[in-house]
Amino acid sequence: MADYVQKKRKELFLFGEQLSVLDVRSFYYLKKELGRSVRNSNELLYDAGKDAVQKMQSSFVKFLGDSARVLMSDPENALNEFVEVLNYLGLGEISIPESGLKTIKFVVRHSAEAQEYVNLKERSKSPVCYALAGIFAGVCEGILQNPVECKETRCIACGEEVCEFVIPSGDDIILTRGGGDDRQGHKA
Amino acid sequence: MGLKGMISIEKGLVVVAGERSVLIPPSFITLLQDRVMKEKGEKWREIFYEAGKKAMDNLAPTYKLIMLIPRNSASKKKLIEELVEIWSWMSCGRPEVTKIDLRNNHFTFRVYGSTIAKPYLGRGEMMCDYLAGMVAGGFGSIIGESLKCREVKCIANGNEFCEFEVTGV
Repeated sequence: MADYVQKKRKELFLFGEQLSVLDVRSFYYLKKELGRSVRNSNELLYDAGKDAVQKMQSSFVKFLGDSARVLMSDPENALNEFVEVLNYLGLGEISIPESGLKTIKFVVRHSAEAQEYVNLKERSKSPVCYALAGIFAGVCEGILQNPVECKETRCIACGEEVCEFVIPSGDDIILTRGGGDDRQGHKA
Repeated sequence: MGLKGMISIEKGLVVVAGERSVLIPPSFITLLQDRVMKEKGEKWREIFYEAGKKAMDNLAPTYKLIMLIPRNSASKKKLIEELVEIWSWMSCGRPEVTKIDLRNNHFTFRVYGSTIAKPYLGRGEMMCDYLAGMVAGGFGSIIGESLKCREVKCIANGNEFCEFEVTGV
Protein backbone atom coordinates (compact mmCIF):
# COMPACT_ATOMS: atom_id res chain seq x y z
CA MET A 1 0.00 0.00 0.00
CA ALA A 2 1.27 3.44 -0.80
CA ASP A 3 2.71 5.31 2.16
CA TYR A 4 0.34 8.18 1.69
CA VAL A 5 -2.69 6.13 2.61
CA GLN A 6 -2.47 4.74 6.12
CA LYS A 7 -4.55 1.80 7.25
CA LYS A 8 -5.58 1.44 10.87
CA ARG A 9 -7.52 -1.78 11.30
CA LYS A 10 -10.10 -1.42 8.55
CA GLU A 11 -10.06 2.35 8.40
CA LEU A 12 -8.09 4.38 5.90
CA PHE A 13 -6.47 7.74 6.54
CA LEU A 14 -4.73 10.38 4.51
CA PHE A 15 -2.76 13.03 6.36
CA GLY A 16 -4.55 12.04 9.55
CA GLU A 17 -8.05 12.42 8.08
CA GLN A 18 -10.33 9.48 7.45
CA LEU A 19 -11.06 8.36 3.91
CA SER A 20 -14.09 6.37 2.80
CA VAL A 21 -14.31 3.88 -0.02
CA LEU A 22 -16.72 4.52 -2.87
CA ASP A 23 -16.69 1.89 -5.58
CA VAL A 24 -16.91 3.20 -9.12
CA ARG A 25 -20.31 1.66 -9.73
CA SER A 26 -21.79 3.36 -6.68
CA PHE A 27 -20.18 6.58 -7.86
CA TYR A 28 -21.83 6.13 -11.25
CA TYR A 29 -25.29 5.53 -9.74
CA LEU A 30 -24.87 8.45 -7.38
CA LYS A 31 -24.04 10.70 -10.33
CA LYS A 32 -26.98 9.36 -12.32
CA GLU A 33 -29.40 9.89 -9.44
CA LEU A 34 -28.14 13.43 -8.91
CA GLY A 35 -28.32 14.11 -12.64
CA ARG A 36 -31.93 12.94 -12.69
CA SER A 37 -33.06 14.87 -9.64
CA VAL A 38 -30.99 17.99 -9.19
CA ARG A 39 -30.39 21.09 -11.27
CA ASN A 40 -26.73 21.66 -12.15
CA SER A 41 -25.60 18.32 -10.77
CA ASN A 42 -22.40 18.67 -12.81
CA GLU A 43 -21.54 21.87 -11.02
CA LEU A 44 -22.39 20.23 -7.72
CA LEU A 45 -19.97 17.36 -8.37
CA TYR A 46 -17.30 19.82 -9.49
CA ASP A 47 -17.71 21.81 -6.27
CA ALA A 48 -17.69 18.68 -4.12
CA GLY A 49 -14.44 17.52 -5.75
CA LYS A 50 -12.87 20.91 -5.31
CA ASP A 51 -13.95 21.24 -1.70
CA ALA A 52 -12.76 17.70 -0.85
CA VAL A 53 -9.29 18.25 -2.27
CA GLN A 54 -8.94 21.64 -0.62
CA LYS A 55 -9.75 20.07 2.75
CA MET A 56 -7.13 17.44 1.93
CA GLN A 57 -4.58 20.19 1.26
CA SER A 58 -5.35 21.81 4.61
CA SER A 59 -4.86 18.48 6.41
CA PHE A 60 -1.63 18.03 4.47
CA VAL A 61 -0.29 21.35 5.77
CA LYS A 62 -1.52 20.64 9.30
CA PHE A 63 -0.13 17.10 9.25
CA LEU A 64 3.31 17.83 7.83
CA GLY A 65 3.81 21.29 9.33
CA ASP A 66 6.88 23.17 8.13
CA SER A 67 7.89 20.67 5.46
CA ALA A 68 4.46 21.09 3.86
CA ARG A 69 4.82 24.86 3.93
CA VAL A 70 8.21 24.59 2.21
CA LEU A 71 6.73 22.33 -0.43
CA MET A 72 3.75 24.60 -1.00
CA SER A 73 6.10 27.52 -1.60
CA ASP A 74 7.45 25.68 -4.65
CA PRO A 75 4.36 25.41 -6.87
CA GLU A 76 5.75 23.01 -9.45
CA ASN A 77 6.96 20.54 -6.85
CA ALA A 78 3.78 20.95 -4.85
CA LEU A 79 1.70 20.18 -7.94
CA ASN A 80 3.72 17.07 -8.73
CA GLU A 81 3.52 15.91 -5.13
CA PHE A 82 -0.25 16.32 -5.00
CA VAL A 83 -0.70 14.49 -8.26
CA GLU A 84 1.36 11.67 -6.76
CA VAL A 85 -0.96 11.60 -3.74
CA LEU A 86 -4.07 11.65 -5.97
CA ASN A 87 -2.62 8.71 -7.87
CA TYR A 88 -3.11 6.57 -4.78
CA LEU A 89 -6.76 7.44 -4.30
CA GLY A 90 -7.92 5.26 -7.18
CA LEU A 91 -9.04 8.12 -9.40
CA GLY A 92 -7.03 6.80 -12.35
CA GLU A 93 -3.45 7.18 -13.54
CA ILE A 94 -2.88 10.90 -13.42
CA SER A 95 -0.03 12.69 -15.14
CA ILE A 96 0.84 16.26 -16.06
CA PRO A 97 2.19 16.26 -19.59
CA GLU A 98 2.26 20.01 -19.76
CA SER A 99 2.55 22.74 -17.22
CA GLY A 100 4.12 26.11 -17.28
CA LEU A 101 3.43 29.63 -18.19
CA LYS A 102 0.25 29.25 -20.16
CA THR A 103 -1.66 26.13 -19.20
CA ILE A 104 -1.71 23.23 -16.84
CA LYS A 105 -2.88 20.04 -18.43
CA PHE A 106 -3.77 16.82 -16.60
CA VAL A 107 -4.16 13.50 -18.35
CA VAL A 108 -6.01 10.67 -16.63
CA ARG A 109 -5.88 7.11 -17.88
CA HIS A 110 -8.76 4.88 -16.79
CA SER A 111 -10.66 7.63 -15.01
CA ALA A 112 -12.65 6.09 -12.16
CA GLU A 113 -15.39 8.63 -12.71
CA ALA A 114 -15.90 7.67 -16.34
CA GLN A 115 -15.02 3.97 -16.14
CA GLU A 116 -18.55 2.70 -15.63
CA TYR A 117 -19.73 4.50 -18.78
CA VAL A 118 -17.13 2.47 -20.66
CA ASN A 119 -18.05 -0.75 -18.85
CA LEU A 120 -21.71 -0.23 -19.70
CA LYS A 121 -20.84 0.90 -23.25
CA GLU A 122 -22.73 4.11 -22.58
CA ARG A 123 -21.33 6.75 -24.91
CA SER A 124 -21.64 10.29 -23.60
CA LYS A 125 -21.83 13.33 -25.87
CA SER A 126 -19.81 15.41 -23.46
CA PRO A 127 -17.14 14.71 -20.83
CA VAL A 128 -18.44 13.33 -17.53
CA CYS A 129 -15.59 13.70 -15.02
CA TYR A 130 -16.94 16.71 -13.17
CA ALA A 131 -15.64 15.76 -9.73
CA LEU A 132 -12.16 15.15 -11.16
CA ALA A 133 -12.20 18.55 -12.86
CA GLY A 134 -13.14 20.07 -9.52
CA ILE A 135 -10.33 18.16 -7.82
CA PHE A 136 -7.75 19.50 -10.28
CA ALA A 137 -9.12 23.03 -9.96
CA GLY A 138 -8.93 22.71 -6.18
CA VAL A 139 -5.35 21.43 -6.24
CA CYS A 140 -4.18 24.27 -8.49
CA GLU A 141 -6.15 26.89 -6.63
CA GLY A 142 -4.62 25.78 -3.33
CA ILE A 143 -1.12 25.90 -4.75
CA LEU A 144 -1.42 29.07 -6.81
CA GLN A 145 -3.56 30.84 -4.20
CA ASN A 146 -5.69 32.17 -6.98
CA PRO A 147 -9.09 31.12 -8.32
CA VAL A 148 -8.84 28.81 -11.33
CA GLU A 149 -11.33 26.85 -13.37
CA CYS A 150 -10.65 23.45 -14.86
CA LYS A 151 -12.33 22.07 -17.95
CA GLU A 152 -12.35 18.48 -19.15
CA THR A 153 -11.57 18.51 -22.86
CA ARG A 154 -11.41 14.78 -23.62
CA CYS A 155 -13.11 11.90 -21.86
CA ILE A 156 -13.13 8.12 -22.19
CA ALA A 157 -16.92 8.26 -21.75
CA CYS A 158 -17.00 10.03 -25.14
CA GLY A 159 -14.84 7.36 -26.74
CA GLU A 160 -11.47 9.07 -26.25
CA GLU A 161 -8.45 7.07 -25.13
CA VAL A 162 -7.80 9.20 -22.08
CA CYS A 163 -9.44 11.96 -20.14
CA GLU A 164 -7.77 15.33 -20.42
CA PHE A 165 -8.24 18.38 -18.24
CA VAL A 166 -7.06 21.89 -18.87
CA ILE A 167 -6.71 24.88 -16.65
CA PRO A 168 -7.36 27.19 -19.58
CA SER A 169 -4.85 29.70 -20.77
CA GLY A 170 -5.46 33.36 -20.47
CA ASP A 171 -3.48 35.04 -17.82
CA ASP A 172 -0.13 33.44 -17.28
CA ILE A 173 0.22 30.70 -14.71
CA ILE A 174 3.73 30.74 -13.41
CA LEU A 175 4.73 27.49 -11.82
CA THR A 176 8.18 28.45 -10.77
CA ARG A 177 9.72 28.95 -7.39
CA GLY A 178 8.98 32.34 -5.96
CA GLY A 179 6.26 33.12 -8.52
CA GLY A 180 4.87 35.28 -5.71
CA ASP A 181 2.94 38.31 -6.80
CA ASP A 182 3.41 37.48 -10.45
CA ARG A 183 1.37 34.33 -10.17
CA GLN A 184 -2.07 34.61 -11.64
CA GLY A 185 -4.88 32.16 -12.01
CA HIS A 186 -7.72 31.88 -14.43
CA LYS A 187 -11.39 32.23 -14.56
CA ALA A 188 -13.23 30.35 -17.25
CA MET B 1 -14.34 -14.46 8.33
CA GLY B 2 -11.63 -15.02 5.81
CA LEU B 3 -12.06 -12.46 3.09
CA LYS B 4 -8.40 -12.00 2.29
CA GLY B 5 -6.85 -9.37 0.09
CA MET B 6 -9.95 -7.26 0.56
CA ILE B 7 -8.23 -4.01 -0.27
CA SER B 8 -5.47 -3.30 -2.74
CA ILE B 9 -4.01 0.15 -3.31
CA GLU B 10 -1.66 0.65 -6.23
CA LYS B 11 -0.72 3.67 -8.24
CA GLY B 12 -3.82 4.65 -10.20
CA LEU B 13 -5.93 1.77 -8.97
CA VAL B 14 -7.75 0.93 -5.75
CA VAL B 15 -9.68 -2.32 -5.56
CA VAL B 16 -11.90 -3.21 -2.61
CA ALA B 17 -13.67 -6.55 -2.49
CA GLY B 18 -12.90 -7.08 -6.16
CA GLU B 19 -14.51 -3.78 -7.16
CA ARG B 20 -12.62 -0.82 -8.50
CA SER B 21 -13.03 2.00 -6.00
CA VAL B 22 -11.99 5.52 -5.15
CA LEU B 23 -10.91 6.81 -1.76
CA ILE B 24 -12.73 9.99 -0.86
CA PRO B 25 -12.93 12.18 2.21
CA PRO B 26 -16.40 11.73 3.76
CA SER B 27 -16.89 15.47 3.25
CA PHE B 28 -17.36 14.75 -0.47
CA ILE B 29 -20.68 13.05 0.28
CA THR B 30 -21.54 15.61 2.97
CA LEU B 31 -21.20 18.51 0.56
CA LEU B 32 -23.34 16.74 -2.02
CA GLN B 33 -26.01 16.03 0.62
CA ASP B 34 -25.98 19.58 1.93
CA ARG B 35 -26.36 21.09 -1.51
CA VAL B 36 -29.14 18.70 -2.49
CA MET B 37 -30.92 19.44 0.83
CA LYS B 38 -30.74 23.13 0.04
CA GLU B 39 -32.30 22.65 -3.38
CA LYS B 40 -34.73 19.82 -2.77
CA GLY B 41 -35.54 19.99 0.94
CA GLU B 42 -36.60 16.64 2.44
CA LYS B 43 -36.57 15.02 -1.00
CA TRP B 44 -32.79 14.73 -0.58
CA ARG B 45 -33.47 11.61 1.47
CA GLU B 46 -35.18 9.81 -1.39
CA ILE B 47 -32.45 10.81 -3.84
CA PHE B 48 -29.61 9.45 -1.70
CA TYR B 49 -31.61 6.37 -0.64
CA GLU B 50 -32.24 5.52 -4.30
CA ALA B 51 -28.59 6.11 -5.22
CA GLY B 52 -27.43 3.74 -2.44
CA LYS B 53 -30.05 1.16 -3.32
CA LYS B 54 -29.33 1.15 -7.05
CA ALA B 55 -25.62 0.82 -6.35
CA MET B 56 -26.14 -2.24 -4.17
CA ASP B 57 -28.81 -3.75 -6.44
CA ASN B 58 -25.99 -3.94 -8.96
CA LEU B 59 -23.06 -4.66 -6.70
CA ALA B 60 -24.30 -7.29 -4.28
CA PRO B 61 -24.61 -9.97 -6.97
CA THR B 62 -20.96 -9.32 -7.91
CA TYR B 63 -19.90 -9.46 -4.29
CA LYS B 64 -21.60 -12.84 -3.98
CA LEU B 65 -19.14 -14.17 -6.53
CA ILE B 66 -16.13 -13.28 -4.43
CA MET B 67 -17.45 -14.43 -1.10
CA LEU B 68 -15.53 -17.41 0.08
CA ILE B 69 -18.37 -19.64 1.14
CA PRO B 70 -18.78 -22.56 -1.28
CA ARG B 71 -21.85 -21.78 -3.35
CA ASN B 72 -23.66 -25.02 -2.62
CA SER B 73 -23.48 -24.48 1.13
CA ALA B 74 -24.03 -20.75 1.15
CA SER B 75 -26.96 -19.90 3.35
CA LYS B 76 -28.56 -16.50 2.93
CA LYS B 77 -27.66 -15.72 6.52
CA LYS B 78 -23.99 -16.40 5.81
CA LEU B 79 -24.11 -14.31 2.66
CA ILE B 80 -25.59 -11.37 4.55
CA GLU B 81 -22.84 -11.67 7.16
CA GLU B 82 -20.23 -11.74 4.40
CA LEU B 83 -21.76 -8.67 2.77
CA VAL B 84 -21.56 -6.83 6.07
CA GLU B 85 -17.93 -7.95 6.35
CA ILE B 86 -17.27 -6.42 2.92
CA TRP B 87 -18.92 -3.18 4.03
CA SER B 88 -16.65 -3.11 7.06
CA TRP B 89 -13.81 -2.44 4.60
CA MET B 90 -15.51 0.65 3.18
CA SER B 91 -14.10 2.78 6.01
CA CYS B 92 -17.54 4.34 6.57
CA GLY B 93 -17.91 3.15 10.15
CA ARG B 94 -18.11 -0.28 11.77
CA PRO B 95 -21.14 -2.21 10.52
CA GLU B 96 -22.84 -5.04 12.36
CA VAL B 97 -25.93 -7.05 11.61
CA THR B 98 -27.76 -7.72 14.87
CA LYS B 99 -30.88 -9.53 13.69
CA ILE B 100 -31.46 -11.82 10.75
CA ASP B 101 -35.00 -13.20 10.56
CA LEU B 102 -35.27 -14.75 7.12
CA ARG B 103 -38.72 -16.19 7.75
CA ASN B 104 -40.25 -12.75 8.24
CA ASN B 105 -37.73 -10.79 6.18
CA HIS B 106 -36.80 -8.69 9.16
CA PHE B 107 -33.25 -7.53 9.77
CA THR B 108 -31.56 -5.08 12.09
CA PHE B 109 -28.31 -3.49 11.08
CA ARG B 110 -26.04 -1.09 12.94
CA VAL B 111 -23.16 1.18 12.05
CA TYR B 112 -20.87 2.50 14.76
CA GLY B 113 -19.21 5.81 13.88
CA SER B 114 -20.96 6.37 10.53
CA THR B 115 -18.79 8.77 8.55
CA ILE B 116 -21.92 10.01 6.79
CA ALA B 117 -23.57 11.04 10.07
CA LYS B 118 -20.47 12.30 11.90
CA PRO B 119 -20.44 15.77 10.31
CA TYR B 120 -24.05 16.22 11.49
CA LEU B 121 -23.59 15.43 15.20
CA GLY B 122 -26.12 17.36 17.25
CA ARG B 123 -28.43 17.98 14.30
CA GLY B 124 -31.23 15.94 15.83
CA GLU B 125 -32.25 13.94 12.76
CA MET B 126 -31.47 10.69 10.96
CA MET B 127 -28.90 11.40 8.29
CA CYS B 128 -27.79 8.06 6.81
CA ASP B 129 -30.32 7.68 4.00
CA TYR B 130 -27.59 6.69 1.58
CA LEU B 131 -26.59 3.83 3.89
CA ALA B 132 -30.25 2.85 4.35
CA GLY B 133 -30.56 2.53 0.57
CA MET B 134 -27.40 0.44 0.41
CA VAL B 135 -28.72 -1.92 3.06
CA ALA B 136 -32.10 -2.31 1.34
CA GLY B 137 -30.42 -3.01 -2.00
CA GLY B 138 -27.68 -5.26 -0.61
CA PHE B 139 -29.82 -7.48 1.60
CA GLY B 140 -32.61 -7.52 -0.97
CA SER B 141 -30.24 -8.74 -3.69
CA ILE B 142 -29.03 -11.55 -1.46
CA ILE B 143 -32.40 -12.83 -0.38
CA GLY B 144 -33.91 -12.20 -3.82
CA GLU B 145 -36.76 -10.01 -2.58
CA SER B 146 -37.55 -6.35 -2.53
CA LEU B 147 -36.81 -4.81 0.87
CA LYS B 148 -37.14 -1.40 2.44
CA CYS B 149 -34.85 0.03 5.07
CA ARG B 150 -35.48 2.77 7.59
CA GLU B 151 -32.94 4.40 9.87
CA VAL B 152 -34.31 4.36 13.40
CA LYS B 153 -31.28 5.56 15.36
CA CYS B 154 -28.51 7.87 14.28
CA ILE B 155 -25.49 9.42 15.94
CA ALA B 156 -26.61 12.70 14.35
CA ASN B 157 -29.78 12.28 16.42
CA GLY B 158 -27.88 11.78 19.65
CA ASN B 159 -27.89 7.97 19.59
CA GLU B 160 -24.83 5.87 20.35
CA PHE B 161 -24.87 4.24 16.91
CA CYS B 162 -26.88 4.29 13.72
CA GLU B 163 -29.46 1.53 13.48
CA PHE B 164 -31.52 0.40 10.54
CA GLU B 165 -34.68 -1.70 10.39
CA VAL B 166 -35.06 -3.72 7.22
CA THR B 167 -38.39 -5.29 6.28
CA GLY B 168 -40.18 -6.64 3.23
CA VAL B 169 -41.91 -4.16 0.93
